[in-house]
This record gives sequence, structure tokens and C-alpha cells, in this order.
Amino acid sequence: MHSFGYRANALLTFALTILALMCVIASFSDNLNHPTPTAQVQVLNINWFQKQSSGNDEVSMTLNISADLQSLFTWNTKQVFVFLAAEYETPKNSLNQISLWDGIIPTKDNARFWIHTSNKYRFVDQGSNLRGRDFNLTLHWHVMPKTGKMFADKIVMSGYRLPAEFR
Amino acid sequence: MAKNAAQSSLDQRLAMAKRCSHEGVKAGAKAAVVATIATAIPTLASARILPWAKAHLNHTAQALIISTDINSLAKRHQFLHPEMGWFSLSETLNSIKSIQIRQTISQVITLGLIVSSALLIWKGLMCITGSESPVVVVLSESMEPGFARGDILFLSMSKDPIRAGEIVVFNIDGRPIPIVHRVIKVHERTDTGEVNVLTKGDNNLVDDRMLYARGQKWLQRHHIMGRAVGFLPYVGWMTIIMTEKPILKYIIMGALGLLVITSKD
Repeated sequence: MHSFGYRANALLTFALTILALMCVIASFSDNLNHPTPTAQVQVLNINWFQKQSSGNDEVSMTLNISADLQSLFTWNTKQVFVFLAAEYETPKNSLNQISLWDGIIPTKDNARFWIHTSNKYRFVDQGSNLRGRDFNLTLHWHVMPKTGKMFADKIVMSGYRLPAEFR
Repeated sequence: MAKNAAQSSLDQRLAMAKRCSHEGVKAGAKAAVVATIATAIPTLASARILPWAKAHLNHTAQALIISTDINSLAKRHQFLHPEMGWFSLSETLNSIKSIQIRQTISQVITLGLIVSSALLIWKGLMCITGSESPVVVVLSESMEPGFARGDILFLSMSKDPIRAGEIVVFNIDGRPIPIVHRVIKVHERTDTGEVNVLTKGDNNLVDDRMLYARGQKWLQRHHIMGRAVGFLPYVGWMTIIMTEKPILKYIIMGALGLLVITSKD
């Protein structure tokens, strides 16, 4: 009845139950953190702006991104995935989201950063609607936990406009 | 120079194709109600249940059955403990034969309980999350360092529109295994509300157009099986090992089945 096998089994079950409980508590503890991240983005230059042979507008720009995401980190945070997306509306599409730059922040020490970059992914519209187009730049972040629920949020920065003519 | 550049981009593509090729698990069982009722009938012998599970459930569900089995074995010995006294009392009153019948019935019921409770958890998750496979195992390195091989993801499929930055699980026509990647571009049509989505693995250098079907530029809503909402590290290794070494799976299942049938208490 109380053989080695049964004891080992009971011990394993108990250990796994405790481990699962700890994971739940760790994940829940993330809710107690109220982050206050900040971000600024400047469009320094429009490098080029043209219509592709396929008929879609494409723009290349130089960006200056600075952000402080240190408050997102808790003891249950494995990494923070951060990306900057251009968001705009066109007559055909109610929403266009185009990721321009992204990065992985592995530790809290790297979470206050400043980067000067041209767009990492191509900024191509579905159609030819980019001339004089107003757009938002939104800094999104996705908190990936060591275990449990994932969190995501964003800061919307509005008031950007593309040039009226190709260049 | 130009040739070199072409060469390196080809290498990148090859490396990416390798990384992305295996992810997720096969789709879950189709007939939820029928399956649950069928397994709840405790007269199903273990020898019949195991091949049935193999045929009708995906690997994650099978792993769930095995782990439930391990756990409930421990519990069984706890809650059947007091009954021992009752059994030994009845032993003096009844013949040995009737005890054996009782034991067999009790064992078969326990076995049915194990399988149906595992199924209940699985199907319950399917109902709550609205996703055909509520739990998937990451099989590739394309989302490193966020998700590593052997981690499990919990999926949900709500009506909410798909937005950039979400991690989605999608199926490509002609590809048996679903892929877990992040959305980097979204175009949503005003008139129909239809979305065009482009994805990319965090650890890959280029987006997923290479992985899509020939000529396919965007994913639509119907390609997407769910979005990842939760994460648990390492747990999926059991599934990976069992999928890659099926012999091990039969050994474990056989041993557990034997334990359930032969255990005396």
C-alpha cells in the first residue's frame, strides 16, 4: 500500500500542484504593477517617397525614437517586445497598421533607449493614398512573461503628415 | 558583388524555411459531445480506449490524458484507502468471486473517469476559448527568445479584430502544421471589414510571405486559428518527446493501463 511507487507518485502530484499554483500567483502578481511608460518619436527626414510599379505608394523615412519602458518590467517579465507602427485611414481601408521598427528588450536596464533609424520594414500602402496623408505613430509593447498571461498596450502619437508630392 | 548578395539572401531564406516549418500541433477532435458521451460510458475497456484516443485526439490532448492518469492514480489511492476496511469486512461475508467483480467494475469506472475528465478539461477549454486547439506546443525557434521549443501557448479566438503586434496561430493551405507568429501589418477594409494580415517570426529576418502559399500575399481571417494569450514554459516537452518517440508513448500508456487494471486496492 505504501510502497515506493505510491509515495513517489503522491510526492510528484503534490510538487506539480504547488508549481502550478506558484505559476498562477506569479502571473496574477503582474496585475499589481501599474506601468507609466513614456515615448517620443520624431520623423527626421523623408528619404524617398514614390509609387511602385505595382501602383502602391512607398515611403522611406528616418525616425528618432526615444522611450522609457522600465516600469513595464516585473519579476515575472521575460522580455518586452516593442514596435512602432504607422496607423492611418484611407478611403478603402478603415485601418492600416504598418510596423516600421521593432525591437526586443531583454532586461530592465535596456528599457530606457534612444534610437535613430530608418524604417526597418517597408512602409507600403495598399493603393496610392499616401500623398498628404495624416498618420499616427503608435508605440506598441507586448510584455512576455516568464509564465502566465501576456500583456500588451500602446502609446498613440498623432499629428504626422506625409508630404503632398513624391520625392 | 551582386552574386554574393543574392547568395546570402538565399541562405537567409533557407534558414528561415527551416525554422518555420514546424509549429503547433494538429487540429483537435471534431465531435465534442459524441466523444465525451462515448468515453463516459465506463464499459469501454482500456485496450479499446487507447487506440481510440490515438485516432481521435491530437497529441496535446493525449498528453493531457496521460498526465491526468498519473495524477488520478495518486488520488485514487488516497480516496480508496478507507474502503479497504469495508472490503476486508465484506470479504468475510461474500465470496471471493463477487469481490473480483466489484473490483473490476470499480477499476473500469475509474478508467472511464480518468479519460472522460481529461476530455472534459480539453473540450471545456475549447468552449471557453472558442479555439479549435486551445493549447499548442511551440516546435520551432522562430519566436525566440520569447517562445522556445517545448513551451506551450494558450489560444483564444474572440470576435475582436486582429491588430498589429498580436501573436496569432495560422494555417496555410497545403501546410499540415499551424504556425505561431506575430502580426506586423494589418489592412482592414471599410466596406466588408475583411482584414489582410502579414506576419513575421520575431527571430526571423524577413516576413512570412515566403511561407505562405504560392502567390499568397496576405492572411485573411479564416486562416487564423487563434491568438496567443498565455504562456507556460517547458510543459510541452512531454508532447514533443511523445510525438517524436512514439514508442515511449506506448510504453507509458501501456504501463499506466496495466497499473490501473492490476492495482488491487
